Amino acid sequence: MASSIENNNEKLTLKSSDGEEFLVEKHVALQSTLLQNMLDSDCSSADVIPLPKIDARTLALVLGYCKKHADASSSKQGELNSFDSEFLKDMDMGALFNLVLAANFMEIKGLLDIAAQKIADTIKDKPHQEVREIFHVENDYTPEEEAAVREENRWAFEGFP
Amino acid sequence: MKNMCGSTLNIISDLPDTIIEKILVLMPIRDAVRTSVLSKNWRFNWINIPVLAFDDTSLVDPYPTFFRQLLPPDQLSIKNRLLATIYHVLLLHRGPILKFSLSISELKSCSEIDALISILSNHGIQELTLQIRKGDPHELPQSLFSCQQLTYLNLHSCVFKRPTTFKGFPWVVCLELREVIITADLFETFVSSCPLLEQLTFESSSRFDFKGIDAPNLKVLSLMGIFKSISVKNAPKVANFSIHSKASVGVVEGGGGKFDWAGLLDGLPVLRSLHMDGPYLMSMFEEVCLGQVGQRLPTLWHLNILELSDVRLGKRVVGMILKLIRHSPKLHKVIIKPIITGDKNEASVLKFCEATLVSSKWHLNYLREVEMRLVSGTKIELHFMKLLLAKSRVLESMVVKPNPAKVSDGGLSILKELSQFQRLSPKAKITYRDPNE
Repeated sequence: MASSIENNNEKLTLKSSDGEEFLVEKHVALQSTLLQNMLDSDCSSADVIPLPKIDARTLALVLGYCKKHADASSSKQGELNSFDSEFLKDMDMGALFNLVLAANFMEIKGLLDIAAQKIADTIKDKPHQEVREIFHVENDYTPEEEAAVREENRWAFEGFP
Repeated sequence: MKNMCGSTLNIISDLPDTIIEKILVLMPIRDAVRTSVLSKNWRFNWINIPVLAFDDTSLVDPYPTFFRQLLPPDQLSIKNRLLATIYHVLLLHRGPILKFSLSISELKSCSEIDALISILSNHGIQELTLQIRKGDPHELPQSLFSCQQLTYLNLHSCVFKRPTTFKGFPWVVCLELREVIITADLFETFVSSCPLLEQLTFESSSRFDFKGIDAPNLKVLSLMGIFKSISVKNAPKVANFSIHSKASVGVVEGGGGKFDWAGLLDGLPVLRSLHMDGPYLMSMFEEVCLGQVGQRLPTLWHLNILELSDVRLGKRVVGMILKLIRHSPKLHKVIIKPIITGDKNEASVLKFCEATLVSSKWHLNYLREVEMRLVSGTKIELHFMKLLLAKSRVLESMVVKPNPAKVSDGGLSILKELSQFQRLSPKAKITYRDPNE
């Protein structure tokens, strides 16, 4: 998604939940539909835009993603794909959840897609005890209830621990 | 670095429902169903997902290998087990099913598929994929034509019968039909009853008469296979056109068939990207250069990108490529993937390239970018590139990507030869890409 920008030097300031300010080029910020809509309406780019739900560490990651995608031309899809998989490669789960929430809030579809895919791939094929641990889900079933749910969807658990 | 939100806060159950739904959609259906045992909160998360895909990777193998060795399954029990799973999911599922895909290699055509389509037609289905990958093609039920919300339809190995009542698919934007059995007339009616259609993919292994396409909003047209004729009636917005023969069917008889190429290209007035393979390029040569008087190559006023795959760089093909380039004033980029030619015509091709090279009568005035993929370093390839470098006035870049199976030195000798060739354009740059990249 290449956006045509008349004035490439225009910048705006984003402020994270923990008070850190980020100076961002406008064409990079436009990767976010939320920011795009704000700029399209009345928000002047001189204002500081607060992002109260996103911490500095996550925002830095998000902006890194946006910059790469804003600067790459559409013909370099292969390069972007390898950037995307590299980008999430060694990320811990906490960071990944923060990222997916930030992408959802800022409406950055591409980032939301790859982060959600990464989470889905992590859950896939794992025994549910392990999934519960990764995601801190508390098991509130009694053993009988759990067995009943398992039995109800028996086909999905065949050959599965 | 500060991190105010501790990771314990961000457990997956705290994610908004829309994100949880998105994550569940992105995993195979069997894994989505398995999340029901995580906790009470999770029990019913999967039953609302609006996307259901049944394929070989999303189900549990109905007959694991050890079982197969014990007792080879019969077709009926495989079918029953697969269908029981699909029905189970559909029975528990709540809410709209916007996207549904059925593509299981072991599932043959059967009447139960019609029942599924009937269920989907009542659940607001928007995107439907139905691929029969074994046995006879499946005759499509009438209920398909009542799925009025469809925006995307992907069919493989299905039979179209003229529907008794069909009001068209008012919202279909993308249509992919592979190995479907449909008469040319019915196809024409069908396409014209999708007024918003933007993308059409059609693949056929039997000679299909592709004619009279009336699709005022069509932007992307991809054809693959053998065609008796190809023509368009009304497709004023097509920007991408690709046409390929089918490798599995073998070489298309007599090149790509006899087409009115001039008429076809005239019918695509805003074409920006053209992608074709060797056999169809030969067919174009036969019609445009050898055909009856009156056949000509129209000027492709808007063509930006020309991509040619599996081309044998013979004398005729080289001539045709040069002609196409010269007829495309806005051409920016040419991508060529050659395949190795037998040596028998080498001398004549080289002679042709040399003769063209020394002829001062003409130049390539528009070409800016050339990309040669899978280059083996044959004499013909080198002479062809030499010709392009010597004749292109405004060439900016020539990218060469050697064929890793054919070059032993990583393509260095190709590069060495290329760098000695004269370049007409002062800006022309030769870039080498690692063959193993």
